[in-house]
Amino acid sequence: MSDTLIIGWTTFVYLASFAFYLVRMVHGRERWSAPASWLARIGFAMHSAALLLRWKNSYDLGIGHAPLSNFYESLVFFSWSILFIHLILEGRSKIRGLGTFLMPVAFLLLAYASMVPGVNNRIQPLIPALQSNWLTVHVLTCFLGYAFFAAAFALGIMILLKSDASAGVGGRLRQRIPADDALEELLYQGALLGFIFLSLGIATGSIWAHSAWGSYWSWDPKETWSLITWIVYALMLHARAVRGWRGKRMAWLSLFGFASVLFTYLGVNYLNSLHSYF
Amino acid sequence: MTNSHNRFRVFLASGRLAIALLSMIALGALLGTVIPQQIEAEAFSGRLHPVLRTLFEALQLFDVYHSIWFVLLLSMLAVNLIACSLDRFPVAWRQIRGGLPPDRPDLFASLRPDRHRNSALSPAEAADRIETRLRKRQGRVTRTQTGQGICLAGEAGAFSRLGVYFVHLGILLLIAGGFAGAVWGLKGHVEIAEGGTADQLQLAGGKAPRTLDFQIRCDRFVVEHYESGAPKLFRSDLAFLRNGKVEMAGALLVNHPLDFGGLRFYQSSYGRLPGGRQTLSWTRRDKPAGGREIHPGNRFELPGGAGEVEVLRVEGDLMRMGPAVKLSVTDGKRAFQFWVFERIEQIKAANPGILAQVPLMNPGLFSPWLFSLEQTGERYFTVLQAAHDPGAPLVALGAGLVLGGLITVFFFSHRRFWIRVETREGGSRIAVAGQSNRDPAGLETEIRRLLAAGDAAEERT
Ligand code: HEM
Repeated sequence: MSDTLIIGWTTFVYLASFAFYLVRMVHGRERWSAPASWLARIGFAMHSAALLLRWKNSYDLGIGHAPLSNFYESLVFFSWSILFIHLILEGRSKIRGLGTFLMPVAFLLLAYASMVPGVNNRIQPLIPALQSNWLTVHVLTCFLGYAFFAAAFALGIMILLKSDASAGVGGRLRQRIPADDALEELLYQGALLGFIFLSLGIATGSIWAHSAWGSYWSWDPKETWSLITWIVYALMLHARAVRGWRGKRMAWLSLFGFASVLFTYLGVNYLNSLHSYF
Repeated sequence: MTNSHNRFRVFLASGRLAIALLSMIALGALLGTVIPQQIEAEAFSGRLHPVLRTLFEALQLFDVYHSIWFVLLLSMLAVNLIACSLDRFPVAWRQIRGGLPPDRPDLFASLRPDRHRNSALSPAEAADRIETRLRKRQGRVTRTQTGQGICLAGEAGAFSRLGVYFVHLGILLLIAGGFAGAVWGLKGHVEIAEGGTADQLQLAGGKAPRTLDFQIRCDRFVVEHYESGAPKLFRSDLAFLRNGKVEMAGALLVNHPLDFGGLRFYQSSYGRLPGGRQTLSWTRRDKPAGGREIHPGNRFELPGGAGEVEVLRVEGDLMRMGPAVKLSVTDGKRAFQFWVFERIEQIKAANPGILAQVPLMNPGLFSPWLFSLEQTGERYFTVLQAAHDPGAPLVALGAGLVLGGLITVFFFSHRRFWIRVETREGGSRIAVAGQSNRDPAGLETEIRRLLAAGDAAEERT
C-alpha cells in the first residue's frame, strides 16, 4: 500500500474528527467528544504509519532519507506535529474544545498536500545541498515549533470566542469553552515552547547553512521571515512579562504570530529564495 | 545626575523602547524581503519613477540589511539590552540570593480555605512527612518552632530567574558576533579550471582581489545526476600547496567544507570551460558542406562566397543549456545573429516549438544553411566560496545562551512554600502558602501534594 494513499484516507479521518468536535461544541453535548477524540487518535496512528512507510520506501528506492525533504513531506509532517501536540494537550489538560480549532488546520494541511495538483508527492532523491543530517533536525524543530504556534493560535481563537458576548452560536458555545485562565496559561506555554523550538530551528538551520553555503546567515527571504516570526513571538512574550498583557490581547497576538508563521512557511515561496524548493 | 539625564537613562532601559526597537527591526527586515536587494535591485530600480528611486536610494532600501539605519537599530537594541539588564539584574540577584524567611505571617493572614487541611497525625509527625516531601522537591528547607506551631519553609529554582538574563546576554553576543563578522570577516570566491591552480581570492563587494599565501589546485571536478536529471553530487578534488608542496589534499563537496590557511572553503558553483576544442560544422540543404575549429572573434567565408560568418561569443554553459556559440552571418543582403547550441536536439525535444518562438536559438536561421556545434576535450571549472568569520564562535555561544536561557525559563520556576502545622484536637491542622514567579498550575499541584503529604489518609500518594 502506498504511503500517499494512507495520507489520503487520513485526511478524511481528520475531517470526520473535526465534524464531531464541531457538533459537540455547537450542540453542547459531551457525548460527541469521545468519537471525535478516537477518530483523531486513529488518524494519528495512520498518519504515523504512513510516515514510517514512506521512510522505508525511500530506502527501498535506494535514496533513503527521512520524509522531510520536499514541500509535500513538509505539509504532511506539519500536520502530524499538530496532531501530536493536540493529543498531548487533550490528554493532559482535559480541554476538549481545542480539537474544534486544531483539527481543521491539520485537515487543511493534509488536504492541500493530497489534492492540490502542484504539490509533487513523489519520493525524490536529495540534491547535494539537502544531503545533510542537519536537514532532518532543522525541519523537525521548525515544524514542531510551528505546531506549538498552531496550538497557541487555536487557544487564541477560543479565548476570543469566549470573551465575545455577541458570538453567533451564542451562550452554549461559550459554555463549552473552559475558563479563560486555563486557556490563557496554555496559550502562553504554547507560544513559549513554540518560541524555543523556532529558536532551535533557526539555530540548526544556521549551522546547516554554515556548512552548505559558507555563511550562517545570508538574509535570504525565508531566513528573514523566520526572524520576523521570532521577533513577533518575542514581542508577545514581552508584552506579557513586561507589560502584563493577558486575555484578548494575547489572543490577538497569537493570531498575528500564526499569520507570520504561515507566511514564513508558504508566502515566502512567492518571493525568490534559496529555500524555494520547499 | 540631572533630571533629564535621569529620564534619558530610564528611557534607554525601558521595555517600551525594546518593544519599539524590535518592531522596527522586524519591519525593516520585512522591507528587505519585499524590495529586491543588492544585485537584483538594479533591474527593479530602473522601472521605478525617478523620484521614488532617489528616495529609495537615499533610504538605502536597496540594501536594507547593511544600511546605516538598520545597523543603528541593532546597535540601539544592544544598548537597550545592556541598560535594561544593568537596571534589573541587581533586583533579580537579590531575589535569588535573598534568603528564605522561616515564616510569612502576611501570607497566612489571608490564606484561601482550600489551602488548609485537617490531619489525624500529630503535628510533629505531620510536619516530618511534609518536610520529607519538601526535601525531595525543594533545595533549601528550614524548620522552626514558633508560637503558631511548627513552621516549615522550602525554596527551589531560584536560579531560573537568571534564564531571561541568559537570553538577553545571548542576544547581545549574537549582535556582537554579527558585527565582528561584518567588520573583520572575509568572504570571497575562487574559480579554478580542472587541472589549473589559483591563488587569488575575488572579494565580495567589489573590493580588490586578495592574493593568498598558498595555491589551490583542482585536480578534477565531478558532477553526477540522478535519472530524473536532478543533480546528485558536486565534488572538487583539491590540493592545497605551499612553495610547490602539497600540504593538504581532499574532496570538497556541498555540505562538506574544507579548512585551510585560516579560511574555510565551500563548494559553491561550477561551469564548463570552452577550453576544449569547439568544432562548428554546417550543411547546405542537409548535405554536409564543411566545418572548422572556432574561437571567439573568428571570421570566415562559407563555401562559394555564400556568406560571411563571425564568431561573436563562445559559452561553456549558456542558460544551463550547455555549450553554445553566437554567430553573426551575412551575405550582404541578409544579416542574422543566432546561437548554436551543442545539445539542440535535447533542447528541441524538451521545448517543442522553441525554434519558431525564439529565432535567436535557431541554428538554421540563415537558410538553407544549418549549423551545429561539437565539443572535444571538454573541461569543467569549479567555483569555491571562501570565508573567514571571526564572529562565528561568538554567534554560536550567543545562540547557546539564548537556548539555554529559554529552556530555563520554560522548565523551571522559582517556587517558595511556607507551611504551618498547628495542634488541633485529635490531630493537627496544616496550612500551606506558596509563591511562584510563573507556572501557577504547577504551584497549585505542589500545594495539593504538600497538603496531602501531611495526612495519614493519603499515605499512598
Ligand atoms: C533590548 C531589548 C530587550 C529588553 C529591554 C528586554 C527586557 C526584558 C524584560 C524586562 C523581561 C522580563 C524579565 C522578568 O521577567 O523579570 C524580559 C523577558 C524576556 N525576554 Fe527580553 N528584552 C529585550 C530583548 C529581547 C529579545 C530580542 C528577546 C528574544 C527574542 C527577548 C526574550 C525574552 C524572553 C524569552 C523573556 C521571558 C519572557 C517570559 O517571562 O515569559 N528579549 N525581557
